Amino acid sequence: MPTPVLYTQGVCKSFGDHVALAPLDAEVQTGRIVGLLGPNGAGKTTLLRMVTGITKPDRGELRMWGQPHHRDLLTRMGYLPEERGLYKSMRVAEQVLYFATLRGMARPDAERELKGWFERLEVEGWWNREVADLSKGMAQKIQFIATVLHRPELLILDEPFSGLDPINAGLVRNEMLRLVKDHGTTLLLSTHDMGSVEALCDEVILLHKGQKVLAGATDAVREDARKGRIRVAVRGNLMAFVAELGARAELLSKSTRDGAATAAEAIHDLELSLPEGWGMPEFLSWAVQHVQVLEAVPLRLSMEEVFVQTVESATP
Amino acid sequence: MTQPKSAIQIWATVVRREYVTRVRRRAFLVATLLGPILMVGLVAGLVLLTQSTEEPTKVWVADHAGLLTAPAESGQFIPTCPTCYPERNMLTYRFGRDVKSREELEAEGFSCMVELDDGILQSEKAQLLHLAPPSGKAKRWMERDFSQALERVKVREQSDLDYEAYLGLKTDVTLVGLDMATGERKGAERGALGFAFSIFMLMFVLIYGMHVMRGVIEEKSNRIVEVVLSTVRPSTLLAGKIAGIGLVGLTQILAWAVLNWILFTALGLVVEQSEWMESWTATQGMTAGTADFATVLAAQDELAFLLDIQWGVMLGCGAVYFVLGYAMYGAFFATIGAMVEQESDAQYLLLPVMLPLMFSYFLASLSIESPESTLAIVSSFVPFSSPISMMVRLPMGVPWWHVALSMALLAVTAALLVGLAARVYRVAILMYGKRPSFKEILRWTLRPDQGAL
Repeated sequence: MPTPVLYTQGVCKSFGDHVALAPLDAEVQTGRIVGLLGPNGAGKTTLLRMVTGITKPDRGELRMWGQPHHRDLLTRMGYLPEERGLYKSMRVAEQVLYFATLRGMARPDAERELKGWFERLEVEGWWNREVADLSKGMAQKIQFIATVLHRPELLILDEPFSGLDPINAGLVRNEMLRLVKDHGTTLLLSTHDMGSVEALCDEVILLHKGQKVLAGATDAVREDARKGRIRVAVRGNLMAFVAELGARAELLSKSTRDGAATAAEAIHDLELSLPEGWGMPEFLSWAVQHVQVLEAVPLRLSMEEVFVQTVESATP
Repeated sequence: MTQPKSAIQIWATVVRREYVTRVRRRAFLVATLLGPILMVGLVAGLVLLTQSTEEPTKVWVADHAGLLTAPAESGQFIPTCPTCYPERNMLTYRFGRDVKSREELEAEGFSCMVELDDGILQSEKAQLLHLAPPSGKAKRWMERDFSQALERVKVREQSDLDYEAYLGLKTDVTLVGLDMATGERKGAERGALGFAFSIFMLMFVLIYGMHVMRGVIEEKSNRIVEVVLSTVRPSTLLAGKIAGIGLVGLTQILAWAVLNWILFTALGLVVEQSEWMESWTATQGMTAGTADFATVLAAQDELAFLLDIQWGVMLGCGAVYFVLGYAMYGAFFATIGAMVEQESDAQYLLLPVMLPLMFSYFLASLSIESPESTLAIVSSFVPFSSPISMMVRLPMGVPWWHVALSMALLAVTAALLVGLAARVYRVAILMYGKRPSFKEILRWTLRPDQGAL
């Protein structure tokens, strides 16, 4: 097992009486894109602030690249917080170079890199402009550049696409993927946009009320959350079928398609939850004895449904 | 490609940003250039206005009782003591027994009339009726001339001394303060000079303290602070901000000193070469070519103090007091900035910081009259008021250990307060939506949380 970029064991943090993070065990492996999810106030920002050295855990172990967390490791990270801004009184390039030099980059190197980034993100010509003249989307792109200019090994992005139009969001997304692919950058992505989680994240960690309620590879998480649910379309006597089904499986919903001449001809869409040990093949071989099965697919949950379901079941 | 920086290097980077972005601003340039131009302009204006636009004063003296005059051949009257009224360009006398009406005075070119009668010997008061009020200097000349003339009358009529003998007996005591340690002269008139410096000090501490507050609010309200804090410790950021802005202040002080020096030198050269200088030397009754710009300044009651300033001491000590006093108050301003999200919310929090500043200003103004009073001395040691109060005392000569002790006390207090402010700052700067209560602030100060990594 390679050394994880981020490893926490029993990390917790409270502010006064408020527990922001209950003991948390988590891991992020090199070169992965990991989604950090959770409702507002779940403790995501608290965790990110610990990783970026803004706060310290009250207790527990926080290791980065296998070492106890230390300030010198901060320059290996890039952090784009959700609440972000720029110095209004500075020029665009000056501002980005300031952050790069703070993170230990030599100025000539930073200037050279910056030129490349200005081209890739299509902001040439803005080098000497005042920040006050930037549109919101433009400012977001500049903030992204300021986060990645020093080539961080771990990129922590909190809602990176907010305020970007689809074209610019695509531009930024491609750059993120390029960094992961070409430089082996690890990406920790905190977002409420479940679409981008499905599209980007290899793994997810879902926090709720300071606790980890779900973690794993995105596909596996979605598969697990299905809980044996399938969708079938059948033709035949629905009443008899349901009666036969009895307690073998749970009927979640049913609907009948319009346009059939007789009851026996009608097509019904059903959603079922199959119990453990009674999988799709077993169910199908049983079902064909009673009705004509037209279609049967595992019910695929969107990340959004996984999110809602997990959070709701975790809320007493 | 990146090399972790030491805390000092990071601090220096922050200082550089704070300094460069401010010094480059147009407002800074304008203020830095305009300040000395206004100041030198003011001095030049004062010199020219009081001197060249001054109308000569021609006085009609209506000596009803003939105290000071005797009749002359042509029905005119001449003073019994002509030497009492030295010839001056700016002041001439004509004598008579009767008053003149306003129209007569105007027609004959008089600007005022003095009425003398017997009563003056007791009351020592006479009426000055004027069409245009005479300058302060002309009035003081007249008072001196009439006093001398009346004194002669009194000596002649009421004693058997002659006037020269009387002058030999007349005694005016002047006390000249002399510092036993340094042998320097001291005088309260220098208090006013120090007070001018203390006003500058108050202004600079206030202006640059507000800069710190505004800088902190900008970072917080722009939400840039979280990015910065992911690389920079809050205490380093605070220290860098205070130092960077303080350097801007020092730059301005230095620029003003240099620019003022250049402008004054230039003004001096221009004045010395000008025709105005010739006519001025003539009005002063001096030989042409003997007077320089310093003589002109010395002749101005309002400006003579400029020659009295020990610029090295005042600027040197002033810079140290500015740095320390500004750091101390800057820490307060930064804390206030960290607690609010916009400048308008800061208004009422400013009161506790403004009060000690205003109070020190008040104390300093009291110290002008009595620079050696306990109040003046104590307030020049108390760190909250010492930067302002000590400036009043400095021109009058202060034992070196007073200055050293007061600076040391101030330095320790400033360091302590910056430390405490950093504790509040680092928590408050990341708090949005609610303003911390006084209880919370007290808790952060006394029992700091673990803070940053």
